[in-house]
Amino acid sequence: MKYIFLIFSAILLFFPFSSALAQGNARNMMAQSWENYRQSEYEFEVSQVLITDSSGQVTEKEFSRWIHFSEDGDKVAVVFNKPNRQKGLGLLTYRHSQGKDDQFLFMPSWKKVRRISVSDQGKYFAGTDITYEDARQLIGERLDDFEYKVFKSENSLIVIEAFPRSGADTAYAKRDIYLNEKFQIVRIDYYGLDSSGKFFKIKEQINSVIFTGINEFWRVDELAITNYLLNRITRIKVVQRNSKSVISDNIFSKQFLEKAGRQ
Amino acid sequence: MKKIIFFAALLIFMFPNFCKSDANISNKMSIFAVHYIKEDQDSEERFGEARFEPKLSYNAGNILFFAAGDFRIDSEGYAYGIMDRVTEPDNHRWAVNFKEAYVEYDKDKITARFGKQIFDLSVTDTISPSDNINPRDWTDLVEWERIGVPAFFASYGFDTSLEFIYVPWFTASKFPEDRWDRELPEGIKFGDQEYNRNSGQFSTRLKTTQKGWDLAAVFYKGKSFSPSYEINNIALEHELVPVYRDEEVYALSAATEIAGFNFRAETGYFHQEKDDDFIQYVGGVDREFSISGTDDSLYVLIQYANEIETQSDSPVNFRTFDNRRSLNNSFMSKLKYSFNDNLAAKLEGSYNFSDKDSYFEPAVSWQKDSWEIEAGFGFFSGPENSFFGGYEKNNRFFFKASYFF
Repeated sequence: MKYIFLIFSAILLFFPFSSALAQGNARNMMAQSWENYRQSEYEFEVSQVLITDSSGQVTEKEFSRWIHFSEDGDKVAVVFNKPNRQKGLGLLTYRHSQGKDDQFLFMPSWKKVRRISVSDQGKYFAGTDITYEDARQLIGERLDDFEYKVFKSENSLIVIEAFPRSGADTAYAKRDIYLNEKFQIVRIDYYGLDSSGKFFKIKEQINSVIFTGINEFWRVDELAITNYLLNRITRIKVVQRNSKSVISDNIFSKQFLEKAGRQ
Repeated sequence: MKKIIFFAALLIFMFPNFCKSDANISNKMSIFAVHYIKEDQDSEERFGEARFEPKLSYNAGNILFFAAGDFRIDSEGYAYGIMDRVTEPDNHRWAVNFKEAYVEYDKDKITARFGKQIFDLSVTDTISPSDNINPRDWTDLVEWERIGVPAFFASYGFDTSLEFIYVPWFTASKFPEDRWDRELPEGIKFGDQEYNRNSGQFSTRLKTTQKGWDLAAVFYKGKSFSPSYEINNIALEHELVPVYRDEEVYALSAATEIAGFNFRAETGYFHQEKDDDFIQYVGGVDREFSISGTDDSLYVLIQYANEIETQSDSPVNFRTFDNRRSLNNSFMSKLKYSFNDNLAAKLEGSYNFSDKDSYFEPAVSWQKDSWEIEAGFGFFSGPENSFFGGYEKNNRFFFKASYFF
C-alpha cells in the first residue's frame, strides 16, 4: 500500500512537471523550426497564386516579396504584379520584436501610402485565403504570444497545439501545427475565433526545399490553403527565389511602395 | 511642335528598351457616363467620356523613366487638342496629354526626380492643408483630379526623410464647366483667369515614423491652387476674375493606430496675399472590420474639417467659394461594405453644419480580374447659396467601367 501511495504521489508530483516539460518541448520545437527557417538574412521571392472558388472558377495572381530577417524586427514588402487591376498593390510590414507591428498599404488608385490597422488580423488579404496574420506568420511568429503543447504524433509528424495567450493579436482560437523530423512546418490546421473555435482551414506544404551551405534552412516551394468555410482553395507556388543577395534598405520603405505602385 | 518631336524621339529611343525585362507597360481603358436627373436648359442631360491611360516605365539601374499618357474624348467637347507645352495652358482638358512624365534617379537614401509629376502630400481624405502643389481639374467637381506639373523633386532618407519640391512654372486649375458653373449676382459674369505662368512654387516636407506614429511638417510657398477673385469693371458690366494669390502654408500631420482604429489629422496655417488668413484643421478615424468572419468586411471613415479665420480680407462683397475651404465645419464619411473580393456597396457623403448643405453618393462596385465597374447616384442638397445646395440641379446617376491590361 505504501508503495502504491508513493508511486501515486510521484505521478501526481511529476504530472505538472511533465506537462510543463511538454509545453517547454513544444515551444522549443517551434523555436527550432523558426530558427531553421530564418537562417538567411535577406530573401526575394516571386510567387504565383491560384484561387479556386466554390464554383470552380480560378483567379490568378502574382506577387513579389522582399524580406529582411532581423532580431530587431523583420521587414516585409509585398507588391502584386498580377492581375493588371491590382498591379502595384503593395503592403509593407515592420515586425517589431517588442510592441505592435507597423503596416502600410498602397492601392493603385491612390497616390500615397497609408498606414493601416494591424488589429484586424482575420481579414483576408487581396482576395486570397491568407489573412493579414498569416502573411506575417509566413516568416515567423512571436513565440511569447502563444502557448504550445505537444498534442500527438501522427505519421512521423509531431502535432503541436498553439493557443493564443491573453492579449495576443490573433484571429485564431487555436492552430494545430504539424512538424516533421527536420522541424519543418508541413501543415497547419486553423480554428477560428469568429467561428466559435471550429476548425475551418488547412495550410499544407506541397513542396519544400532545403538550402545547404554555411547555414541550412528550409523553404516551402508550394503550399495550398483549403478554406472549408468559404469552400475555396488558394495555391501559392514560388517561381523565383533569391536568398543570397543583400537587399537595399530602400526596398523596405514607403517610398519604394509608392514607386512600385506607380509603375 | 518641338516638344512633340522631343517626346516622340524619346519614345522611339525608349521603345526598344521597353521590350527588355526591366520595362513595364500597363494600360487602363475606361468609360464614364452620367445622366442628370433634372433638366437644365443650358446643358445636356447626359455626359459620356472614354479614356485611355497607358503607363510605360523602364528601369536602367538607378534610373527610372516613367510616362503616363492620357487620351480622352467626351460628349461635351471638354477635352480637345494636343498638349504640347511644358505647362498646361488654358482652361480646358486635353484630348492628348501626359498625366506624368519624368526621370527618376535612386541611390541609397537619395531620390531625385525631374519632369511632369503629381504629388499627394495628404494624410487625411479630400481636405488636406499639406497638399498644395498640384492644381486641380474641377471640370466635374465631384470627379476632380490633380493636374501634373513640371517639377524637380529631391528626397533624402527612408522612414525619416526630407523632401524638396520646386515647380518653376505655374499651372492654373481648370474650372467647372456648364452645369458646374456657379450662378453669380446680377450684373456680374466670370472673366478669364489671370496668372503669371513664370511664377515658381516651393514645398518642403520633413517626415518620420516613430513608435507607431507617422509625423510630418510641410512648408509651402507659392500660388494657391484655388484662386481668389477680383472685380473688374468693364463698361456697365462687372467681371469676376479668378486670380492666384501668393501664399505661405505651414502644415503638420499625424497618423497612428490606436486599439485597431487608424487616426489621421492635419492642421495648417494659410497666410495669403490680399485674401483671408486662416488655420485649417481636419481629423478623422477609419477602420476596416471583418463582419461575419468570412470574406466580407466593412470599411468606415469618419472625418471632420473646419477652420479658424485669423484675418479676414475677402476680396469681394458677395460669397465666393474657395474649393479648399468648401468643407469647413463639415462632417465627411465613407462606408464600404465588401461582400467579398468582388462586390461592394458604398456610401460616401459630406454634411456642412454651418450651411446645412450636403452631398451623398451611394454606389455599387464590382471588380474581377481586369475589370472594375461602378454605378451609383450623386445627390446634392441645401440652400441655393451654399456650396452643395447650388448644385442641386446636378443630381445624377453615374456609371464607370475600367479595363486594365
